[in-house]
Amino acid sequence: MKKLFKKVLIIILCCSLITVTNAQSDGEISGTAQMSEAEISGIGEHWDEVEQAGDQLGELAENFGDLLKAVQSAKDLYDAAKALDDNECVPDLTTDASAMMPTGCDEEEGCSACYEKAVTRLNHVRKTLARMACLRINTKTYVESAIAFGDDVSGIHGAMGLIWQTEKIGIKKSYEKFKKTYDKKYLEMMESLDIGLKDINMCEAQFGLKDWYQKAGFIYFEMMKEKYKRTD
Amino acid sequence: MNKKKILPLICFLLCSIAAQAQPFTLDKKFKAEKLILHKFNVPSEPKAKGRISITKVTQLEDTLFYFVKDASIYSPVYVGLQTKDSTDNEPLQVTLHKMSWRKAERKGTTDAKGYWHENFKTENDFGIRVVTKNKPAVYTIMVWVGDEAKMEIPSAFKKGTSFKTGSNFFKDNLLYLIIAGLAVLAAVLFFKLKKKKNEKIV
Repeated sequence: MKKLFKKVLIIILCCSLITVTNAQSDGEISGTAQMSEAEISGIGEHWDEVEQAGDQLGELAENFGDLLKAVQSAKDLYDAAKALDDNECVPDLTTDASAMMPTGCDEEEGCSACYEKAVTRLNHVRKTLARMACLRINTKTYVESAIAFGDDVSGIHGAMGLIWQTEKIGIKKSYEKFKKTYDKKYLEMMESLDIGLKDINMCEAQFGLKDWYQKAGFIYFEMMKEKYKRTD
Repeated sequence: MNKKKILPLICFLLCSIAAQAQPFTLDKKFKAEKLILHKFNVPSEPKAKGRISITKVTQLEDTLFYFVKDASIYSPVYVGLQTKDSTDNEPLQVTLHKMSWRKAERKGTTDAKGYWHENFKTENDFGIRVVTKNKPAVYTIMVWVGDEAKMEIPSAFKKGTSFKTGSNFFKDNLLYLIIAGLAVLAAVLFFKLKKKKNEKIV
């Protein structure tokens, strides 16, 4: 098996060299060789051998492996990582104490089972809405900065003006499409949230607080509706 | 709404902004190579599960641009570059871009061993720019996007709280109300008895 893998590696290297040689003989164009799905799959299966290969990929794999060994799970790596752009929106999943809902279920066996499905739905909606909101904020920033940049450049270089006008229309159309899609998905999420909260209400009626939806669920629903509504 | 429905939802949202994907430029001649992510699974290292792109490059121009699509904000991202050691070579300059190729979000150079890396999180696209003084520059670039991290969402519930309504007030304080009632009754009886005694004396 190892021999076969070495042969595969040699073939990959040869293919890469052919690409590289072509690039060099042209004298002007750089050569890039991206690994295919099958090659990546092979590397995954023989990761330990790749790490010990000693070539550039081997060194890279070793360094990446060290990074993974330093954490207990990929989640730790995620938690330690900062957003690429300082101004990039990262979903905020925390709940303000004032926005929390009361519950009559104190993790007793019977009531916890009833709540499980509804709470899973609720959390999924919260996670998705937070992500959607960030997508909206980031897209808005992107569009605004692209338009500002284009307007600046086209003002300086006259020839750019015509190209930019066409480009600008395209960007605006694309953004309008994004906004419509957001609104549609926002409504879907609100429907899902309402179903989740009404399911919780049924559990509350059985195990905890009567008229929970009227007293707490509805207020939470309205708060979420306002929080994630597109205002621009 | 289950996960199967959520994923296309996010993809659909991302697709609607696909026209603006990758850091922005007006230069039509400008070409950035898309680094394609493939499924990656290492049986001996479950933490590495995700998608990966590995590219071997021989750079003959001063600058090359690459971009990556479809990263998730809930996934860790690693970008690594390995070239020859810097004994006879100038280190490579690497910058990462988000909104525009004009503004670098992260920048660095390959170290003495020819290695550079960054890890971060981002949504959808980002760009990589590699600048070299020594040509040709031979290097391998690796981009890994891990599977989405399982986010623990803080509860939206305040446990053990209940609504303070009138009926609950009586239920909760029933014992105190009975004691108070008995005390009042005892006081009334006491005063009545005292009054009767006073009447008898008169």
